[in-house]
Amino acid sequence: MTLQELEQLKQRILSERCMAPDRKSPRVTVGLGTCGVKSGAGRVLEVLRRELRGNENIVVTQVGCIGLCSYEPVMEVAMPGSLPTIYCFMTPEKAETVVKEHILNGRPVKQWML
Amino acid sequence: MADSTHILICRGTACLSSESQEIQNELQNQLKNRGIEEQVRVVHTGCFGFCARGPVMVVWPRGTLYCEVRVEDIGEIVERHILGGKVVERLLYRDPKTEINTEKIDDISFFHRQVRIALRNCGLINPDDINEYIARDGYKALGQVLTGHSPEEVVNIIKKSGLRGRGGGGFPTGLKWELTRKSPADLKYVICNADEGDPGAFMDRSILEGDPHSVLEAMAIAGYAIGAQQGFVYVRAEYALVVERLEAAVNQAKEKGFLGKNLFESGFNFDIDLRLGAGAFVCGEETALITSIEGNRGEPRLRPPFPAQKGLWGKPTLINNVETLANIPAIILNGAEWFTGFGTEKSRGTKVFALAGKIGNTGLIEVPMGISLREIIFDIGGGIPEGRQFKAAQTGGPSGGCIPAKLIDISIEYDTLLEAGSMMGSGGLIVMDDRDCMVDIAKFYLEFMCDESCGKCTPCRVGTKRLLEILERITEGRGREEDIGLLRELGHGIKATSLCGLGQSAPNPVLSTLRYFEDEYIAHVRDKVCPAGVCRKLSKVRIIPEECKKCGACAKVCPVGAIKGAPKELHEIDPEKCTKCGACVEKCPFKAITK
Repeated sequence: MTLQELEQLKQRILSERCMAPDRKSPRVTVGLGTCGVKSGAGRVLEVLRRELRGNENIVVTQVGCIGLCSYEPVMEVAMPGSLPTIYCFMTPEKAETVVKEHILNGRPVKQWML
Repeated sequence: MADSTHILICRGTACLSSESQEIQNELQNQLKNRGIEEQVRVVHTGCFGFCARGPVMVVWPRGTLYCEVRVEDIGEIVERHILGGKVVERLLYRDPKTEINTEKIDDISFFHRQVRIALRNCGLINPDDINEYIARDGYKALGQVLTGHSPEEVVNIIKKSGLRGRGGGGFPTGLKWELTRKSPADLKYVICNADEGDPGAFMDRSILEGDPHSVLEAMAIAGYAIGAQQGFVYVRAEYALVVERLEAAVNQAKEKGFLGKNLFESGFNFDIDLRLGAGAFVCGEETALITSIEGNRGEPRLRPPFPAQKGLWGKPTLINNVETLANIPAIILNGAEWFTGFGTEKSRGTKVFALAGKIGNTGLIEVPMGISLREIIFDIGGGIPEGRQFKAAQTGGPSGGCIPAKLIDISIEYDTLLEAGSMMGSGGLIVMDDRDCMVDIAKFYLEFMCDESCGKCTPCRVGTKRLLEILERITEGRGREEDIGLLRELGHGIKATSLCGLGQSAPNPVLSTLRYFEDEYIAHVRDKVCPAGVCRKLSKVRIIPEECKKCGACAKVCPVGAIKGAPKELHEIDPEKCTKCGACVEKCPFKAITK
């Protein structure tokens, strides 16, 4: 690979994975460091994948720990055209609600935000 | 327009990747067109730690923070804010909790004092997907180094950055690279020390779990700089998730051509293998770690020769800690000068701390060196829970020491911590409140060191055991007046005569608590009292007659039947039977029992 090819790959992935602020569809991440795994973040991620099946444009992925270990499971919802929202103390049930309210209908669930 | 107007534009990796360069150009053009380029200073800075909302811009003197700024927004910022003195509301940070727009970055407590360099990708990318690392400028530093810099230039960049080892010793990283580079040999090695063992420290684990490629990339850069083609990551087997993610990362890097042969078509080859440690604390010591990789029992050996001269299989070897390496790609991409913009003269850059113990926000933070302990504990850490009093902070793990409350404004740097009798160590920070007994804390660390001493040299093997016996005696009420002097004498003796860093630092928890909390030791020895009420054999459970309402609840809950007295009679505790478990103290509805 050359530096130029690396740069092209970077630009492609930024848009494919909805990682840049100008993302076209939502990016939903769940912290799966040891702290997250231990407090049940794996099940939260499973539910998100299940509930969002069929929405191919929405990126759902695991990430490492952002440092808020005492607030795990932590998930982040980054919608197009708005700032990412951090949800803490998540459960599979709460995750279902966040999918319905926030991710699919654009209404953030205030009581579970950081 | 205020006279002192200046604009900071973040040119950290993250913001650069979202066109902060173009924004700066546009800003300078606009200022020029309006003829005010002389009055407004435009400064580019390193990462604000707010990468998720980048590109970020701060306009002083008010310190207004604008997030996700686009080139098209510049006109409005110049017109409305710089000339008109009004804030551009729609570009402010919106607090997700209150949904209120926040003008200043300082208003977001957990993140506001953080600067994330080593942790730049943690929590933002999928560690199992090399593509997401690439999207955050991953492997660009390696590509730049291999295609545009000589190995000497790379060493010089690291030397100029002032980066020091983040694993404990604080040795200048650039100097280590230079020494290894200058050792003549046919083969050389790069080792990443991921044998994180300090109780309460978990930054290396978190970096490898959240961003494994940053460490792999840094190892390849180091290999190029010193002339090595093979690297090893020595990681403890208990870190199962780390091992899993590292293995996946190494394989993906090989597939993409960032490890292996002819990287970036430069002719440079570099490969990385993992070596799993069995969890002995001493294997974090570099010579013991090397012995362990060689397949032998993990025991340290005398230095010199240092690993830079004679390391793995007798060849010059560069050993760096995980966090040290995680800084390298960012330094290459942004330059040494950018890095020296953080921290203090002798401690450049940032440090990751693992907050644990009696603190509101336990977790992982990265702060610029030179920050005060007070800011870490109260501003970022959220203070001490349950309204308790801050008593001391333990830094540097079992090799470190305690910083007492009176030194809470100490600036966190390598040298200030050493002066205070503690050390930076790997960055574990355990906070203690008024319910923690300092003699008991010292005993805890000594027990750990006693277990983990490899037994090769006598001062460490026997000395730590004797130290522990004295501490046990003191906490059990059998302490003698001369014990305090004995602890000091023995402690200094072990420090002076042990073979490796483990023994040389093992007495530190005792010596540092003695330095600041000698009165607590004296209370244990002379008055047979544990002021914090932790040491069971010294605590006396007592019923306060004036407070006792004679309800009988305590007698019912006592597991050993040590409380006499039926309801409506004054209760008494039989000190012979009492095990000081504290069940009655918790049960009493009138708080009439003290411990």
